[in-house]
Amino acid sequence: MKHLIKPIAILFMLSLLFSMINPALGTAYTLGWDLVDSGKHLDWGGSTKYQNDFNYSVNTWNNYKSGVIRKDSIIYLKDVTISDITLKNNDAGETDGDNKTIKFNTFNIDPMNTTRRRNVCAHELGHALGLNENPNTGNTMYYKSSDTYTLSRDDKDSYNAAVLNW
Amino acid sequence: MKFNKYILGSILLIGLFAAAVIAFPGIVNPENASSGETQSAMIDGIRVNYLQNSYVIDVENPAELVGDADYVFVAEIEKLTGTAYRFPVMILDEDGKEIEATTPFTEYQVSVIQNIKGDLVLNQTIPLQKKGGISKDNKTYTIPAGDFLPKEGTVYIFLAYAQDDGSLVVSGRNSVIELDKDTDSEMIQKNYDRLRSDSQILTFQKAYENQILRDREHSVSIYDVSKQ
Ligand SMILES: [Zn+2]
Repeated sequence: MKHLIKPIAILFMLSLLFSMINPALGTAYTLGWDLVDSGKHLDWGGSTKYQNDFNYSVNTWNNYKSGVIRKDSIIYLKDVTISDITLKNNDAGETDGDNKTIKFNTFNIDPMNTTRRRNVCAHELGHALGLNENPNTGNTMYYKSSDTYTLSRDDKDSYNAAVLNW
Repeated sequence: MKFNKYILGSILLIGLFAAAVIAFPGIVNPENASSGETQSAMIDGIRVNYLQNSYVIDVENPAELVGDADYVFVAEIEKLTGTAYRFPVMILDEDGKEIEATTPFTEYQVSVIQNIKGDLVLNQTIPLQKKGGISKDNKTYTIPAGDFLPKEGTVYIFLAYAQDDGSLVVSGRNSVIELDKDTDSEMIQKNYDRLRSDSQILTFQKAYENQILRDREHSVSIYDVSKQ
């Protein structure tokens, strides 16, 4: 038993250090529902004119947890259907949990730069994965689209919490 | 040195747990996690499906809300006339069969009492569409998260967008604003003087003075005074 004290103490000190390097301790925001299937995949079908940006945002989430989001196929039936709509209003994307759809609003996305388009795609995919909106700027899940593109500590913690509900 | 192995074991467990909490606070500390408007929310005994959006303005800031809308006005809902099912897309049902899915938009007839931004015709019955509504099978309300469906016979502030065909659409979080509780009861008695001191109306009038504009293409409503 005694020989274990040292390694545990070191582990404890390391995690303390780790938390100091990452002062922004995350908060998890989950929806309580998701579009992930029983095999723990989110298989997408349909299409959008922002396909390159959508694919890029798929990779962003998959770089954090590999292989979760996939394109549908004969074997992998789609869990979510993506499409484009045009409506004059103030929203760019919309995830519908009942219909299992993600709709992109061309009226508001067409004028955006690449980063912002990717942000909208990643945000809506986040909802489909079970993440809720984040009230603070600097997060992909902030309710207003922005030029933030990397997954923040909150985004990752929210994803980890959402996975527990799958 | 001699340790009681149970005490030692406890210390080790506490140390490991503390390390885990520090390294992964979102996971192990459930009080850190916040859950959204849950899937079990109900309105009048009907289940609610909350839409999850990504907005292009700060929908919590009245100056941005007013700046981006074409028309901001106080109006009474005379009648809920129906539901339009828009933006059809083919999805797969539970059995893997292709079916059509749509988004409901509730159709209202309203009468504008006061314009805050823009100039809509006053005291006439005009139609508008509000994103959200009842499903075709009457079993579910679909509503943008943080939004609600306004009721007949009630006065609200509306923030509307003119569409290419001149129709009016009200859509998303904070697109309809409830007035003060006591304004509502005065309205039932048709006492419109109360509108001058309503805190929400004052807020949106002030927001118009400080409105934050977004560069976007605008349309004019066919119910605009200039089109009459
Ligand atoms: Zn959102």
